[in-house]
Amino acid sequence: MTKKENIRKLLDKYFEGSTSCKEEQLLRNYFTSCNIPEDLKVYKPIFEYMDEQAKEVSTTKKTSISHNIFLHYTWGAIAATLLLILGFTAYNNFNHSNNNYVIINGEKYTNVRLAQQQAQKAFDEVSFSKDDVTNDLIPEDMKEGFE
Amino acid sequence: MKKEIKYLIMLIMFFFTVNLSAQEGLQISDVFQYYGKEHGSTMVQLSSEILSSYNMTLYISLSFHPSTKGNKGLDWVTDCINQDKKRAKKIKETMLDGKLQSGYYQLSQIQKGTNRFILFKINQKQKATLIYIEGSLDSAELVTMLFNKK
Repeated sequence: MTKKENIRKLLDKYFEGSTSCKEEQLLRNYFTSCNIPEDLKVYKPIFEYMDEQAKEVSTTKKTSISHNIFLHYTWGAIAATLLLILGFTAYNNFNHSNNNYVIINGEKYTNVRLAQQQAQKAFDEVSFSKDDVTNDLIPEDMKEGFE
Repeated sequence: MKKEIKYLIMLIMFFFTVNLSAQEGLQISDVFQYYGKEHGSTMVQLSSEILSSYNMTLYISLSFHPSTKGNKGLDWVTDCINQDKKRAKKIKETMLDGKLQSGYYQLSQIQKGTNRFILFKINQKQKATLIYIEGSLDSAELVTMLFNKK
């Protein structure tokens, strides 16, 4: 069977709609080449168009795949960042519960009651009484007169 | 996509801004850091879950004996307080022979509704007490608490 006969058979099969992808590819390759017999030239525009379409679909597919990969990685990065932030917040919150402590002579204690006692003690140190206010207002040399 | 990245950066910036420690940036944090772990010192830190009834979110106190040697003595401590005093809205001080004996400072708010206070006192035995308070409590509430203690 000559190549031309083979192409004719494939053409018949094509118009019957029973060609495989590989056979269609063969037809497209054949009709986009230069040496086409005159009687078959009538089919050339069809297969040229089909070939263009096939190429376009292939390019779109590739673009779509690379776009999908880009989106996939971007959203992956965003999700990872958010997870990192959430993790850090959770860690911070956990640490916050350990934020109550007292350091005495360089030793750290996390006993809350002890910390509260020491905090109260320090607060008492800076607090003032009516006497303190009076003492601040009345100069030392004038106090004798008041006593 | 640029928009999403922009939002993400804003989110991260917001997160870090919120988490910045309020006490950082104040000179007294150096005092807490220097004397906090020294022998003879007592440093306490309490956070919001314990302080909520006092309208405080952070309480740090340090009781210590300022060093008489080196350059981290009482003068350095008062210098640190004086630096932070520049940002104070309210100042009450008592001085003896030109030296700071006690100080009460209300600093500018770190964020809306969060007041900051520094309290300092040195007693006759040269024991100093430095306190940093942060929270929604106002000046009057704090003074009432301080006045009622003795």
